[in-house]
Amino acid sequence: MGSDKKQYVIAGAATVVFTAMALLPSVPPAAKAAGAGLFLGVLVYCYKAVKKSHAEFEKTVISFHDLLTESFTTLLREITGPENVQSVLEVLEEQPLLSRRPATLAGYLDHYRSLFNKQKNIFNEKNRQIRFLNERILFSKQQLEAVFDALTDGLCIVDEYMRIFRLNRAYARYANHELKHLLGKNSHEFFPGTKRIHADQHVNKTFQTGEPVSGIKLDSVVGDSKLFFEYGTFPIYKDSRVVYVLEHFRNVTNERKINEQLIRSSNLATIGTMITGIAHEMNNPLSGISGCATNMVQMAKNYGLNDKGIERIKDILDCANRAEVILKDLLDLSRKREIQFVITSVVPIIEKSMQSIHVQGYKSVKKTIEPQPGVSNLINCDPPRIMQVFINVIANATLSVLEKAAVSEAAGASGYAPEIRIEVKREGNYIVAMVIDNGMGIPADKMPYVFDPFFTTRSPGEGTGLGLSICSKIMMEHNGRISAESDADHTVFFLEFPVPARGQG
Amino acid sequence: MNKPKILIVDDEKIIREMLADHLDEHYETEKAANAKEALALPHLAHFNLVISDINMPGLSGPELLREIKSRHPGIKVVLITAYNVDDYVRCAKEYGVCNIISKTVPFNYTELDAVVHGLITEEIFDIERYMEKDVRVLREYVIRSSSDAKEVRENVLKTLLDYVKNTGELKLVLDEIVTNALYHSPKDEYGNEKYEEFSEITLAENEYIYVKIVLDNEKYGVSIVDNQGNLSKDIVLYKIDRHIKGEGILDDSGRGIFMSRIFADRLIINIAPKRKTEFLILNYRNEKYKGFKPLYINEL
Repeated sequence: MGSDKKQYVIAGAATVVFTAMALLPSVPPAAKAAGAGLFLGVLVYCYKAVKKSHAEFEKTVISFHDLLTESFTTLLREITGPENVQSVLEVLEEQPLLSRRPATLAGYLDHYRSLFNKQKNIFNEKNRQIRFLNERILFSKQQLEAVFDALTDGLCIVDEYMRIFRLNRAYARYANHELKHLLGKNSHEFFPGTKRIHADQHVNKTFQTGEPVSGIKLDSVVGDSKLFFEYGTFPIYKDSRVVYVLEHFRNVTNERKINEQLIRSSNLATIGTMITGIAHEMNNPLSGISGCATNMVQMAKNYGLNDKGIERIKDILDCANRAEVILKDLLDLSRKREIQFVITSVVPIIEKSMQSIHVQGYKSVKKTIEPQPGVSNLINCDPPRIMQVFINVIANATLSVLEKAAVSEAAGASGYAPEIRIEVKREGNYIVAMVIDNGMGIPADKMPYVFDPFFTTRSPGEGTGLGLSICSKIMMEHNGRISAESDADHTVFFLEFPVPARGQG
Repeated sequence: MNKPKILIVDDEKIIREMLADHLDEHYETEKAANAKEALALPHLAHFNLVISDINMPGLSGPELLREIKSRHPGIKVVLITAYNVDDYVRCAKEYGVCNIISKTVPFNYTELDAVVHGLITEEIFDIERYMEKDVRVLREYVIRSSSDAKEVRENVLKTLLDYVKNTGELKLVLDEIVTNALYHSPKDEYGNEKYEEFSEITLAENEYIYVKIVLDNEKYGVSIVDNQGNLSKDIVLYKIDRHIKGEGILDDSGRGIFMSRIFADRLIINIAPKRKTEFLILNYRNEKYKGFKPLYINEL
């Protein structure tokens, strides 16, 4: 437009100069003719220049219009999902605005305004949608974070150098560090027990192959307590490449305890129903064998027995009596007894149990009870039944420490002092009595079977192998739990009693 | 003098032989494998005592004994079983059998002898009959008041502790039975209890409770005798059974007898109506005669 103005100024100036020349009498005619020619030339030049400028302007307007139309179409295509492109295009085709160029400049301007408005509306609508989606994403994120943190399973996301990129509270708790201190740290330096199961290798495998790992058993010592986890990994992809790996530590401690109890109780239930029947039937012939053998020993002459015969009959008698002890224990296990619950302190029960151990050499064992100071140790129980449990466990511990004493002595080692320590403390809703001995320990391969009926490490006749099964049954009747842990130096039996409810009893 | 005759009925041969071998020394025994054989014996009427197993093919032991009793009311009867005696208390009550011997391992011959002898001779009293040959009487007491009772109970436990490692639940059993003898046994002319439970009382001139402690190589025993004889075997059986079945769990009355039977190794009750009630408590010093507890209630 600027150059157009210039043309008009030049043309205007030329017209003024030429008119002045034509009107002035002093100007000679020849000069007037030359002036007219020049004036015409200037006019022609100006006309041509204006026309050219107009053509360029029109071209610019058209190309601008085309660009705008194209950008609008593209925009519509881009911000519309691929599934809708076709329908959008159809709408566009129907729009005369886009298929036909306007005839006038004003028409163009109208088009521009309309296109801009449409674009503005589209942007506004899009913006609104994005804001809405953003809010939803934010909310989802908060929800996920809450879930992440509420999980009792430990979770962390690591990069290929095992550095923690994200973690949840449970992970921090198990790792025994503050959450913020763990970010960027090597996961396997902090989560207890991960080195033993070579967690690095599992994470690397997931990075390389994209395959998740699951069900790896992990025992960890967290603070004072032993926890059991199931360890697993899961790949996190970006652009079809594993960029992070999620490490998952599922806490299965309770599950394991409950499972063990369930297996034990189902064993016991099956045995219970079988036993009552079998034991009764066995008792009959057994009393016949034992009774006849007694007669034969007492009245050997009536039976024409010599000394050797009497000896053998005595052996038969011993065997029959031993079989009866097993039967009696079995019946004890299967019989449903009425339990007389009272709320009472567990410590005197333990003391009384300690006085009721009749194992040779028991006096030489150092015995202590350590109740947690200032904490109630009341439990709801049938005291004679619970005494039975403690007597059993303490007697086992005694045999174990005495055996170790004998072994050390035989090996010429000195300095072994047999010891049984009983700690009583409160843990959550349980009163826990831990019977700890420094005896022989229970080998790891035997540990799963110690509560099984008939499992015994002693020689025939020294025990029926039912003691701990009976204990387990009694503890179940008290809604309590019994479990054991052992290493080379110590064996611990945990007897857990639920804290009596307020107003109970 | 002819030996008393005993019929042994059991489907298990070894049990028949075992009982016969032992009893042959003092009695004349005969054996039958089941009720049918027993009832077919032509000289059934001549037996003084029939010992019968409970579970047998054909008629059961209680059914057989009821049949024999109906034919010959003078014959004494006793059941013997390897099963839980407690399961048969109701049955014993229905069939009028108050003695059930338990087939313990080792077999308890002393007990068998005492029961058989008691039934045949009707000499049911005296704790020493249940003891081994080396029996010793440790102490004897007479209770005439509530304060005597307290003192005697404490003294019994103290005396026994000189001889045995522990007295288990004897204290509880003594409390129950002495309380029973002191407050529940004496009745007035209308049959009502004369004394209020746990009150301070002195017994009347003609009332007393006699307590004796005995000991042998395998067990100790305490007998508690009152001279009232107001208990009856039916009442005892009713109360024991009611608690076994859990029907009287909230009812204190008669719970003492049931509890005592649980806590004592043996609880034997002998009654001479209107004359005498004797409670015998026997506890084995070692874990002997495991198995089920027998039932011994004798009423003359």
